[in-house]
Amino acid sequence: MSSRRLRSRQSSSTRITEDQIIELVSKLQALLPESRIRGNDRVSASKVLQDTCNYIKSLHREVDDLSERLSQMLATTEMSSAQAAIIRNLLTQ
Amino acid sequence: MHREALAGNPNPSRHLQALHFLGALARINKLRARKSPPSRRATALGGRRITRAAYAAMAVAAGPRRAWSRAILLGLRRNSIAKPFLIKKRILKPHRELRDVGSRAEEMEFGSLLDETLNYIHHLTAQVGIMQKIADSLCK
Repeated sequence: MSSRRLRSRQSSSTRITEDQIIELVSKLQALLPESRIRGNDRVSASKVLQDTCNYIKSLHREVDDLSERLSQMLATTEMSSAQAAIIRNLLTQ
Repeated sequence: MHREALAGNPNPSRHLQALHFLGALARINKLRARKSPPSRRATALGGRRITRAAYAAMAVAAGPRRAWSRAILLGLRRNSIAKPFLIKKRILKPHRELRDVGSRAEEMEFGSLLDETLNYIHHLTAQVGIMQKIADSLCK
């Protein structure tokens, strides 16, 4: 009963509905690499969360690998000569 | 906050993220140039410095309004790599399936967590793209 009173005090902008959660979960599902294979088939939320954890872990590994590569490349290449090309490359999205 | 999440992600933050990371790389490279004979240990440390710069760039681009970016910025201040995923794991662990969520308070926290996760992945994938582009540029 007290929770009902609490609900009426909350403004509609801060209340998170189950629909919003479902939408957020489907947004996450769309980001996953598995979604390219599965397509738009509905997957359970817990599977989406599990896949999301694995995806984030793989992205962390990718960042570590790229950091290692960049570290070795910077040791051998002179960066100042490549800077213009890098900036041009980055800002053309 | 949730209306923003549904409205889509801003693109100018990606440029900020790229430029911040590039600046950090230039600084790291400058430090490396001072110590002329590059030891094997130095290159290993360089990799870790670049990783820190990567997460810092993500956090700066996301701004202080996100819990994950605040965690990184505070962690960097304490001079340690605060891998935000570990923080998320602590939050995710007690959580079960969506239909087990009973009270409205839990729903709100779960919604915020999903929102944060979406934003984090957005910046993380952007960072991977940035680093890949730089690596490609340095290859040519």
